[in-house]
Amino acid sequence: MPGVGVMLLLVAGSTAADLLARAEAAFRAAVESRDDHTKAEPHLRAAIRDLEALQARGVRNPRLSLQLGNARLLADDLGGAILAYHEGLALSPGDRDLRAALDFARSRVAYPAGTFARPPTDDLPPWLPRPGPVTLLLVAFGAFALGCVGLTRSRMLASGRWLTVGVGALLIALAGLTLLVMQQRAAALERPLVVVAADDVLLRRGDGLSFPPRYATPLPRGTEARLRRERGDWLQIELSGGEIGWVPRELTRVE
Amino acid sequence: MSRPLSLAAILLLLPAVATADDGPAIPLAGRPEIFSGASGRFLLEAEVDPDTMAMEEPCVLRVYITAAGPVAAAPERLVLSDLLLADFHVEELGVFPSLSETARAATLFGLGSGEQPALLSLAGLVPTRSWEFRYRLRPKRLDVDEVPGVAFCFHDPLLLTASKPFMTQYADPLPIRVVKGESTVRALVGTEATFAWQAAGALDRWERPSLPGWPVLLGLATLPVVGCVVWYRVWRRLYPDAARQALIRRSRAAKVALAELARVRSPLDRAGANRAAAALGRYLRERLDLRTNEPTPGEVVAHFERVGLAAHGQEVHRLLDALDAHRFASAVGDADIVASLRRLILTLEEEPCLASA
Repeated sequence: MPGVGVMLLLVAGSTAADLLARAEAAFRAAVESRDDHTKAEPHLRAAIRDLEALQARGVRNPRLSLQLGNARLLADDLGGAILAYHEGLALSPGDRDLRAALDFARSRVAYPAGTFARPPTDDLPPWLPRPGPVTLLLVAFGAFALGCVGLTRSRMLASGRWLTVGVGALLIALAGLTLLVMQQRAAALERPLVVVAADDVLLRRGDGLSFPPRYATPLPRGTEARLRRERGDWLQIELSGGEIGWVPRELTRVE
Repeated sequence: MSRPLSLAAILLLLPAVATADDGPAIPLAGRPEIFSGASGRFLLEAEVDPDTMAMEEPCVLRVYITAAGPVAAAPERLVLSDLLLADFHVEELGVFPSLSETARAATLFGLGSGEQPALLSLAGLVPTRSWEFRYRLRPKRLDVDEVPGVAFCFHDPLLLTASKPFMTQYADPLPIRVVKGESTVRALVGTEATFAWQAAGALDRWERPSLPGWPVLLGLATLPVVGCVVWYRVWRRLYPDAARQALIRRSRAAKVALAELARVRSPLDRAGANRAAAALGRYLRERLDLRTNEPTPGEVVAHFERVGLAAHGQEVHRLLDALDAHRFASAVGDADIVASLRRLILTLEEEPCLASA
């Protein structure tokens, strides 16, 4: 495979800016051929390769994840796209572009009827900001400081209005702190994300083809799950509804 | 032979043709999950047709299972591998008796070849010793180059010495070629945002947001408290009167008394003196629990001594005397009395025993 070797050498010898510029050129070439998937695909693969090379060099940010996700989505790598969007959201939970892109990618997953294999629903309205831990900490700290100021001012002026301000701010600080602790606990318990990368993957009772399917309904490409454990080339995953089973590693993308 | 007669002959001959394959029961223990339900000895073959197709275009996979001896139970199902399901869209077309077997039965009963073999098999009129599992496959990608081998697991009653009398046979993988065709020309799917290059700042290095350590958090929590304490102390030092006023505002009795004294007109007349005396009396009753309604100066001094405010006794005595002079002896013009009363109340409110009350 001399072509791959040359490509690897090219990637290794490029600066991050070169890689990004090349990825942009390839992506734009793919968009120019957007009416023909076959023509666009090699360009998309090239863009994906360069963007992934950037990530391999430690460059990580929400924009890069968004762009990588978009390129993978256009290249029919639905699982990889969903994974990239999730990686971006881990860096910036409130990024609306990433959230919209993830929603679109999920809309392309052929979920079976019912709730089986569907990702957990987000009941919050889309316009509501999703604060990350640092934002929550800053809000809690700001509210706490305001509470202290309010109480001090009420002490100075013997004013009931300042007392209300102080107590209200302290309650907000407490709420922010509680939310932060809950968020941190959930993050600590969270397992790596697994996205099914092939169509109609059966969730099996054990780590082998000899084990029967746990559910008759196969998992569609793009199904999101959490990794519970690994055994050889098999992964035990848990769906959002609590269903647990085994899938071959080669049919998944793991965070 | 006419066709109705042929069918009648088939129905009469059926018991003689059909084999009653009563073999040993299939054990439940150790039964593999991909067990097909078959018991006996079988041969496995598979073929795919056509072997060259465009992506997403169909081909038919036929898996032939042929009995190689007595059959105790016929195969009911095949479990396709995940690898096959990953590469192809699969549609089950059903289980059919082998065409050759059907043709033989048709010949036996005088039917022309190709005459309703499916009807015969469905009616159980063909002694099926060969089964054909048929699937319609559509390759999902251009790089798919074979149909993975299909597994067939059956019970072999002749494996008397084996603890697990189940066997699994695998058909050979079938090479195919997926070519680009007209049907593969399709547009990229995405929103307008998906097609936009949005990589501004894509070279930044971000870390996952994480919280600072406990010392920093503790410092953050302490900072406002310490800052406010310092602020309060500085404020008290810079604005002592404001501080005193604030302290007094906390005493409702003092607040009412000061407001009442503020209404006393200058120069002080009898009515004003009565009002000032009433305000002072109410303050002393509410703040110092003085029980007398119209206390004499002596009673007030004695009460002040009881509550630990003896230092202010003489001052109170003097002011009450002065008020009495205005009220009962028609003295006029001493406007300083009201100011002194205000100072007295402010001073009393600063006394530790009252400030903490």
